[in-house]
Amino acid sequence: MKTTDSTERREKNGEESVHSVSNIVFRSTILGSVIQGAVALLIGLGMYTIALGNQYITLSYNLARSASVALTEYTDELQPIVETVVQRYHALPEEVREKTFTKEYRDNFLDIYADDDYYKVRQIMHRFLNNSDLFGVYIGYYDEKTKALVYIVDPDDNEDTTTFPGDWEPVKDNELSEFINWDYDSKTYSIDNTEKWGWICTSGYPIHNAHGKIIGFVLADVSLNELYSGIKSFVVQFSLAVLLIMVLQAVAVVYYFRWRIVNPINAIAGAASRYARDKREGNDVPDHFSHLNFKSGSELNHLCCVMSRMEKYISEYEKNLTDMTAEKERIETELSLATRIQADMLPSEYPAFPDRDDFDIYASMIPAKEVGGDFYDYFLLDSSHLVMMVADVSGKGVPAALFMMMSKLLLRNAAMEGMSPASALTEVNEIICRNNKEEMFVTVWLGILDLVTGVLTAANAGHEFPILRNSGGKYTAVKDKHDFVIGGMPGIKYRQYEIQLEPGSRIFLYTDGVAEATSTDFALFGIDEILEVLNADPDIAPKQVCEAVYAGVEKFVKGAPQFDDITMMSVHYIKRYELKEQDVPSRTINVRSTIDQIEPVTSMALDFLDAQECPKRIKHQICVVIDEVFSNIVNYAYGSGVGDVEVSIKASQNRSSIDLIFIDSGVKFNPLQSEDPDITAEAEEREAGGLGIMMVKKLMDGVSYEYRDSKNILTLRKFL
Amino acid sequence: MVIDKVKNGTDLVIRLSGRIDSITAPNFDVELKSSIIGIETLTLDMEKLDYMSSACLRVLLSVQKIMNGRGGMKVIHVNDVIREIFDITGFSGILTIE
Repeated sequence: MKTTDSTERREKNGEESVHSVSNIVFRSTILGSVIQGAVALLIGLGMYTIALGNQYITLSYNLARSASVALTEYTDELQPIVETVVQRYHALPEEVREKTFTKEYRDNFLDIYADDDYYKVRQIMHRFLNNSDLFGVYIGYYDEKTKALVYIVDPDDNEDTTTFPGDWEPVKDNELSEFINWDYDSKTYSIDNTEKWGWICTSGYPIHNAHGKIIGFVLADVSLNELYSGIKSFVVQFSLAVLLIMVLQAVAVVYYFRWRIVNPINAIAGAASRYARDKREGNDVPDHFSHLNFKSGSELNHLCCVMSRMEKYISEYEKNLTDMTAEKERIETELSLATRIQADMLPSEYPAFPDRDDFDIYASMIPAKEVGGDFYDYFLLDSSHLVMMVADVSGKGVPAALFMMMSKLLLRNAAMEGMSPASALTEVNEIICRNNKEEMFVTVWLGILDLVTGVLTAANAGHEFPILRNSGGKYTAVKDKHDFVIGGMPGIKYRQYEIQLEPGSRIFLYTDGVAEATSTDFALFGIDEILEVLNADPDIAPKQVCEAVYAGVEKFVKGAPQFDDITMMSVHYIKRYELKEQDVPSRTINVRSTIDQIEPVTSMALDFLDAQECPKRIKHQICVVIDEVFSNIVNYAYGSGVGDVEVSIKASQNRSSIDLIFIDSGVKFNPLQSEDPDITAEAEEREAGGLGIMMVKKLMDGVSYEYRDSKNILTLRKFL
Repeated sequence: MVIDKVKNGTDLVIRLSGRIDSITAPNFDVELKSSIIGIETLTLDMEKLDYMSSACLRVLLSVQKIMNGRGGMKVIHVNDVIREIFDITGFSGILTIE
C-alpha cells in the first residue's frame, strides 16, 4: 500500500509540475519583456534627453552669442564697469563678501547700479530677455582668484530673482577652467541642479574689447525643469505601454504554449498514467498511446509514436518474460528433481554395511552445479567381493547428468554380472560407443577387492591415480596403467592389474574436482596436497578421511567458486573376511525322473550361471551336460519307473570352478565306466549310443562318481 | 527349438534355432525326415542354434546316412559349442561343415 501511496503522490506532484511549466513560461516571458522594455526605455530616454538637451543648449548658446555680438559696440562702456565691480569685489574683505545677495552687501556697489553706462548696457540686455523665453541672461565675470562667478549686469526686473553687480556665486573648478580657457570650437555650457531655480543649463559666450581681450561672459540660463518633467512623463507612459504589451505578450505566449505543448504533454502524461494504472490493476487495455494525434512531424508526435512503440514492446516483452519465467520455473523444478534422483542413485546411507566389521567405506559427492557429472558406487558382489567405482563424466549440467546415469547403470550391471574390471570396462565402452553422437566420455576407476585374500583387481579408464596405504605405511599414489576413457573410441581392450592389500590397508579414490580444485590465485590443489592431508592423520575412519580432504580443499581454494564436482571415496580394509558356508553360492532342485524335468533343471542352472559371470560357451556346455546326464537317469536309473532326482550346482570358494551334482536313488550305476564309442568310423558304421557320456567327460574338467547311502552321486566340475 | 524351412526345387535349407536336447530331439527327427522326401541336397543352418545334445547327434547321423545316397548334406554357421561337440564326438569327420 505504501508503494501505491507514494506512486500516487508522485503522480500528483507530476500534475503540479505541469502547471508550473505554464508558470515558468509566463514568468520567463515577463522577465524577458521587462529586460527588453528596460533596455528600450533606457535607449529611448537617452536619445530623447540628448536631443532635447542639445536643443536647450543650442538655444541658450545662441542667445548668449547674439547678446555678446550686440554688446560688441558697447565694450568701451562695459569694460570700466567690469573693472570697477571686480576691483571693488576684490577690495572687500572676505567676511563682507560672504554676505552677497544681501542689501548690506549690495550697498557697496550701489553707485555702479546708478551709472548711465551701466543702465545703457542693461537696456540692451533687457531686449534679449524680453524677446525670449529664457530664464535669464546676464553678464558675469569668472574670477580665478576666488573661484567665483561675479555678476556684473542682470537685466531681470524681478526683485526676487535678479542679481546686483558684485553678487557672486562659487564656481566648480571644471566650469571655471572651461570658461577661462575658452575654446571657440565647442559650446561651453554647464548643467546644474540649483537650490533656487532647480535644473538649469547655463551657456556662455565671451565679450571681447577692442583689443580682443575677454572682458567677461554673456551667460544665458535655460530652465531644464520642463525637460525633466517631460522625461518623467515619458518614462511613466513608456513604462505603462511596455508593461501592457508585456502582459499581453506573456498571456498570448502562455496560451499558445498551453495549446501547442502543455496540453499535448498532459494528454501523453494522462495516457501514461492510465497505462500505469491499468498495468497495476491488471486491466488488459491494449492501446493507450496510438489514438493520440498531434501535428505530424512535431517532436510531440514523435514522442507519442515512441511511447506507442514502447507500449507495444513492453507488452511483447512482458509476454515473453511471463513465458520465460514459467519455463524457467518448470526447468528449475525439474532440475531440482533431477538433482534428487541423481543423489538418490548414489549410495549415501552410513554405515554402508552395518553388519560387516572387516571393512569400512565412505563416499561423498558435492556437485558444482545443480546436477553433476561425477558419480561413485560400491556394493558387495557377494559376501567376499567389494566392487568400488569412481567416475567423472565430461562436461557439466543436465547432459553430463544423463550420461552419468547411463554410465553408472551400465557399469553397475556389468560388475553385477560378475565381470572382471577389465571386461566390464571393455563391454560398457562398446555399448556407449555404439550410440555416442554427442561424443561424451567418462573416466572410470573400477576395482574389485577380494575381502578374503586382500587382492585388489582394478582397471583405470583415464581416471585419476588411486591412492593406497598398505597397512602401517604412508598414503601413496599408485601410478597404475591408464587406458583410454570410456566412450572415447570403440574396440579398446581395457587392462587390469592386481595389488595385494594387507589387512589395515586403505584406499582413497577421488575425481579431478579434488585434484584440480583451484584457489583464487589459480593454484591447483594437486595430488601432493591430497597426500599431505591424508598423511597428516592417516588412521582416521573413512568418513573423517573424506571430510579432512574436503576441508583441505576448502582451505586451499580460499573461497574461490567450486567449478567441478568433488567426489571422494575412502575404504578401510580392516581384516580378512572369514568365508562361511552360506557364502558359497549354490542352487539345488529336486525333481522327478521324467524327461520334461530337464527344462526346470536347465533353467535353474542357467539362472545360477548368469549370476556368476559365466561365459556363454560354458553355460551351453553345462546345458548339454545336464541334458545328457539327466536323460541317462530318466532312461536307466529307475528302470521303467520314475523316482526322485536332486540336482545341485555350486561355485567353489574362490570361484574358479563350478560343481554340478546329480543324486538319484536308482540302481547302482557308474556311467564313467562305460566304454567310449568309436568316433573314427564312417557314418554308415557308426553307433548312436554312448555318445552322451563321452561328451560329458570331454566337456567337463573333472568327473567323479560315488555310491553312498544307496544313492548314485555324480559330481562334475567345470573350471571357469 | 524352431525350424524354418526354405525349399527351392530339390534343394532344402533348414534354419535351426534355440536348442535341440532330449526333449526336442524326437520332434526334430520327425520334422526333418518328413521334410527331406524328394530332396537331393540338404543344408542345415545352425547360426541361431545355441547347443545340441547327443539326442540331436543321433538324428543328424541317421539323416546324414539317408542323404549320403542323394546329392548330399552340409551344415553351415556352426558356433563354438556345437563345433566342440562335433569335434569331441568325431562328427566333424562325417559331416560336411562349412
